[in-house]
Order: sequence, then structure tokens, then C-alpha cells
Amino acid sequence: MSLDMEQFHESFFDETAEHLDEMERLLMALDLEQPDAGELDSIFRAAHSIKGGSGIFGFEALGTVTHVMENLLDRARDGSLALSADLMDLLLKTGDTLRAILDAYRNQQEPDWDSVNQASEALEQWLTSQQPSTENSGDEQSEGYGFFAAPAEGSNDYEAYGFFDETVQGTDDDPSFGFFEPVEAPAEEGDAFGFFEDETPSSTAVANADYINSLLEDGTSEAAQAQTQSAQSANTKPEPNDPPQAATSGAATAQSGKTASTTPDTGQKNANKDSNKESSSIRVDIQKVDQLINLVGEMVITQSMLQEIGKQVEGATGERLESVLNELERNTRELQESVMAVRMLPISFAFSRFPRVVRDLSGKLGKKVQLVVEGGDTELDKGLIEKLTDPLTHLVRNSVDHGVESPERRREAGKPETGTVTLRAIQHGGNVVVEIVDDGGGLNRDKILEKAMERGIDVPSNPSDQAVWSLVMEPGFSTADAVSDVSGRGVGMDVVRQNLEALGGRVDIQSEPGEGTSFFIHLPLTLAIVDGMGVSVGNETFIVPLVNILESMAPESGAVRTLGGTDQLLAVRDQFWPVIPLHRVMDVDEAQAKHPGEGIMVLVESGRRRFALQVDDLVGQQQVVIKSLEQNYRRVPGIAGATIMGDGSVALILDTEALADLAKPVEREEAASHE
Amino acid sequence: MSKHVLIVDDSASIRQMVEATLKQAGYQVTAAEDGKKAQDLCQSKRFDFVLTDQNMPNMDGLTLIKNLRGMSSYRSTPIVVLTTEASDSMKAKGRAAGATGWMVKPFDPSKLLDVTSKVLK
Repeated sequence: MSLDMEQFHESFFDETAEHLDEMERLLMALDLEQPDAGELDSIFRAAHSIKGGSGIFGFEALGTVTHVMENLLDRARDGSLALSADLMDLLLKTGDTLRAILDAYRNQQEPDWDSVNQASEALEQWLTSQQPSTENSGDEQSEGYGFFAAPAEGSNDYEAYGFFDETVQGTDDDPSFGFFEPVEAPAEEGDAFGFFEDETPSSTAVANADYINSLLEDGTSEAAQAQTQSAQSANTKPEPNDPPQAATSGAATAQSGKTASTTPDTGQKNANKDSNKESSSIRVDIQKVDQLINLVGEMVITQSMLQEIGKQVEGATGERLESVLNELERNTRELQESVMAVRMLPISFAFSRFPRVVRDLSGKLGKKVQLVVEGGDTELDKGLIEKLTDPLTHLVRNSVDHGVESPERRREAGKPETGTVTLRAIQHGGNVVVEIVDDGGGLNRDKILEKAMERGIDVPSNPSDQAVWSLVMEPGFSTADAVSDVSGRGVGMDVVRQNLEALGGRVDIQSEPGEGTSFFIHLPLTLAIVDGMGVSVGNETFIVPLVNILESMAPESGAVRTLGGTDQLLAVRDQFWPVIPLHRVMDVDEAQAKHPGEGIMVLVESGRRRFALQVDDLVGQQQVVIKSLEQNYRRVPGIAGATIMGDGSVALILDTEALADLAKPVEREEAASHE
Repeated sequence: MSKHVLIVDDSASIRQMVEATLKQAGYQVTAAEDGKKAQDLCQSKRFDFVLTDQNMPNMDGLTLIKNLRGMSSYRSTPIVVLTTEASDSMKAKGRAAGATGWMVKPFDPSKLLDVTSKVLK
């Protein structure tokens, strides 16, 4: 038999990861007082499926842990094992271990057997420690349940597991399969079954041997179990629509938006959702998708070139050509959007881990925190979602740790003891805004200023609140002694900001004393295409990412003042903006607007600073495909990438963060001269 | 005409593995991810052998077997149930549902081919 089993591993890993996610989500959403039978069943089935597959594909460590987990869950779902927060903790922790094992296997490494054994032992200890009480309950509930509590159950299962070893060794007449005698065959056509009669002696013999061990392990127990389950589901029937929504836990809220939109009216939503997912999606190598996106990008460029050439054709042919080219443009645009959509995933992929993060962290800190997740349907590029997870985790931890106050303090302040952290994603045109909002004590202006001074960070005098809040994300602001072991982890908020800015995003902070703090992350929808404003300087065209542009204006006379000979300031509604003449930064000699007050001012806000960019004119707003300069040429300061315009010329995409650094010295002088 | 096998399992990796193994051995294979889908398939098509997992969402394997046995065209088709435990209770239930036999998970390709060739011989 020369079948390469490895070809199925990827598929097994993926489905195992999905099972683990599903298990965690369900565990988090589980109502411990009145658990939903269907959900307990789904949790059990997740462990069961992982165990089954790991046996077949030879991932022993996964099988070992899920086996014990399955036993425990089996007893949880038949009601002989009490559900408790501690048990949920244990199961969640076990899920983490399984994830680590899965990662090891994925990377073709041997899993950490210590943790494997620890995890199984912890589960077994739980099983044994619960034994006495369940024995009681078993007795009380008469025949059906007694069996599950009996010690024989554990040993039996071990045999079932040992069984597997035999199979692996491949003894020929092993009892790992068998055929039934036609005795109880439902149809009269016993002949068909008689066909296999020559097989049955061996298997019956084994079956008999088994019988001695598991005499009681018969229909009775499982029938009773089935009864309990149906009874339970009957109990919950009056409210079949989305039970998790009724629960107030964060996880339930996390999922409600998503589930509501996919299967709004099914009671069996878990099962349905799973099967829908499987039947209506395919797995594709991301490189294939990227290749497609690249090609479409090239096609967009070719199409705009055609359009330019088409404009030069006159007469009747020209008109016909124009209408055809317009159609081509429309189709190309739709093609591009569709292809980009392939890479888009709902942001719930990034959000799904946070109910757990908040639960664990608040427990550790002795706080009561509820997580509300909104807008999980909002779609973002896969690459962005992956890179977003870490900074988001940091911000969410930060909100729980530093934002939400202790229950006592909240009570004193007349707030509910349970704090709320809201994670919300909203799409605005070509951008997505992710908000992390807490209803905690808010940032303390004086303390931040004091600490910034202490740390030697430049602080403008009499700064706006906005400027003070952004100090929190200044390099060197949060240092070891200021950061607790919880949200610190050696990474400061400045790193969070850097990472987000590297994604083309920026962070805004709002805070009200006593009311809470909000972080707003503005992100582009994708890393491959940017919504940009074309600006011209001389013969050159540059693209400014639209996400950074606040407004553009032709300055009134006298609005621009010159300081110290070269540095300029633009006055806009009582605020002063340092001016960066783009022609000077980019060395364009033939620029028209070279003198202060000439041309157009584009007000740019980057994560760190705001400035006015002086350009000759605005060319227009357009979506451009980003081509990496680094890959094709080399890194150029102030430039984020390049794109090809409709006329075939190359336009450079400005890196507003880097330009902001160029504006820095000017801003300092501004601070000095306006004291 | 090669024999047509239906594999029913909610795990994609196991479906793929069974499918590849049997196809390589020259069988025709169709896969379904739960009992409900399998039953629908069986209504429009006649398979020579059904291999079904026991524990699945929507409709489990034993219910599927019971339902298939209620269909005249499947009264005598070999149906083997995949199970993780070869306990007597399971066997009793399998037999009562009308299964031809059982096969313990995990199994390897050679075991699968062994069982398949035995039921189809």
C-alpha cells in the first residue's frame, strides 16, 4: 500500500484548528447553570473528531489528550459531571495545550510530551476527584447513570484506546472490524448477510471476550443518555433561536453578529454552520490568490493605458472605441474588486480570541470585565488581519489592565462593578476603523505629562488633550516599572503604534476622566491597493494615501507665515500646521508652487504628527495598486512604494510617517515660538 | 464497471484519505459529510458499499443506516459503521440499526482495503 498519508495532514491540521476554535468558542459561551445539550454535544464531538483523525494520521499526542478530554466531556454531556468555572478553565487550558501540540506537528516537530502528560493527568485527576459525587448522583438517578460513574468505565475506555495500538501493529485477525451475524438483520433477505458469515466466528469470539469486560456497557446507559439529551433539548425548545445570544457572556456577543447573519433562524445553528462552511468553501494556497491579484493589478494598468490611447482616436471609430473601453474599464474594476474580495476575511477571525483573553486576564487581575464585540462581519485583507492580531491583543489587554478599574473603585465611583470593553470594527469607504473602548477611569492628563517630563520626552507647552494622549504611545513612555506583568510583556505602546503604522494605519486616542478611554485604529482595507490622492509637483505625480488626508485647500493670503527664514507655518482655524513643501523634500526643481502660500496645501495627519503638504495641484482621487520599491529597486526615504498611472508613467506613493519625521524640527520651533 | 463506495464522515481529512485509498485501488468513490447528505445521495444513486462514521452532526451514522435499511434498494447493501470504540454496546447498536459490520477508527489504508474487498467480494 503506497499511499502517501502526508497529503492529508494539512487538511487534518486545518480541521483540528477549526475544532479547537469551535470548542473554545462554545466553552466560553456555555451557560454553566443551564447548559445547552446541543452545545455540549458539539464540544464533545470536536474532541471526538480530533481524537479520531489523530489516530488515523498518527498524531499520538493529540490522541492522548483528546481521549481523556472526550471521557470528561462525555460525562459532562450526560450530566454526571458537574460543570463549573474551574472545569471550564481546565478545558480551555487543555485547548491551549492541544493548540501547542498541533503547532508542533504542523512544524514537523515532536510535541512537548511533558505538557501532553500534564494535560492528560490534570483531566484524569478531575475525573477521579469527581468520582465520589458522581457515584452518588448515579445511584440516585438509578440504572442509566450508575454506569458512567463506575470505575469500570475508565478502564474500559483505556482498553478501547489500547485497541488502537493493536491495530497499528496490524495483527491480521484483530477485532478492529467485524461483521454482524444476520441474527437481528432487519430484513428477511438474510442471505445478503449470510454472505459474511464465514467472517463472523472470529469477531464474535472477540466480541464475547469484550463482553466480559463491558457487560454493563450496553444500550441501557447510552439509551438513558439519549433520553436525557432529548429531555434537555425539549426543555430548551421554547427558545430555540440562538441560545448564546441570551447568555450575557462576551463570547456570545462576539458571535451573535456573525451567526445572526449566516443562519438567522435555525436552532441547530452549530451543526448547520459547520456543514455550510465545508460544502461552500474551498481551500486555496494564498500564493495563487496573490498571483491573481498581481495579474489583475497589471491588467488595471494596461486598461488605463488603453483608455489614454483611446482618447487620441477621433471620429466614429473613436466613439465606438470609447464605449467599448468604458465597458472594459467597468469590467476590469469589478474583476479587481472580486479578486481582492477573495483575500478578504471577516475581522471576527482576529476578534475571536479576545473573549478568552479578557476572561483570563480579568480573572487574574480580580476585575470583572465584560467584552462586547461588534462588527465582526467587517472584512479586511487576510494579511492585515494576521498582522493586526498582536497589536490588538496588546490594546485589549491594556484596556483590561489599565483602563477598567477594580470592582471596589468602580462601586465607589457609582459605576456597575463589571466594566465593559468594547471591540468594534466599522468600515468607512476604503478604510476600516477598529475601536477598543473601555468604560474605565480614563487617562490622567497630569500624570501623563509628569511622566513624559520624567522620561525626557519632548512635550509641547500647553498641549491639546489629543497631544497628551498620544504621548502614551511615544517611544520610551511606558517602561518596565510602569508596565505590569500583565499587559507589559516587554512591548510598549510605541511598538503597537509602529506595527499599526507599518500596516498603513494610524491610532487616535480619546479619553474622558471617569468615563473611559477609546483607541481608534484607522486601517486601509488591503495592503495591495491604496485609495490615494494624486498630487502634482512640477512634472511629477505623487500619491498621498487618502487615509492620512484631512482636507486640502488653497491657502488664503497671509495664512502662511515664515519662521527663521525657511520654516513655514500654515494657520487654519486657530491651529498652526508646519508646512512641508513637497518639491523641496523630493527635490523637484521645476515645481510651480515654490514660495510660501502658493499652490495647494494638503493637510496630512499621520500617527505622530500633522502637517501641511505644499504641492502644485491636485490630480484626483484614485485607487492605485502598490508596487514595492524595495523589491524592485531599493528603499527610498519618504516613499512607501510606487504605482503605474493610466498614462504609463510611474508615480511614487508618499510615506506620510517618514514625511512627518521631516516635519519634526519645524514643529519644535513652532512650539518654541508660540509659547 | 467498478464498484461504487460511499464514504460518510464529517472529517474532511478522513474523507480524503478514504477516497484516495479506494480510488487508488480502482473503486469509484463518493463522499458525504453527514448522514443527511448521504441519505440524499442514496436516494438518487445506488452505491455498492456504504462506509459511515457514527458520530456526525445533522444525522448520525446509526440513524443513516436505519433509514437506508428502510429503502428497498439498500435493504441488502453492505454498510459498515466506523467507530472509535468497539464495545459491545456499540456493536449491539450497530447490529440493531442494520449495519453489516463495524470498523474501528483509527484504521490504516490496508485495513480499509481489506474490509472493502471482503464486503464487495
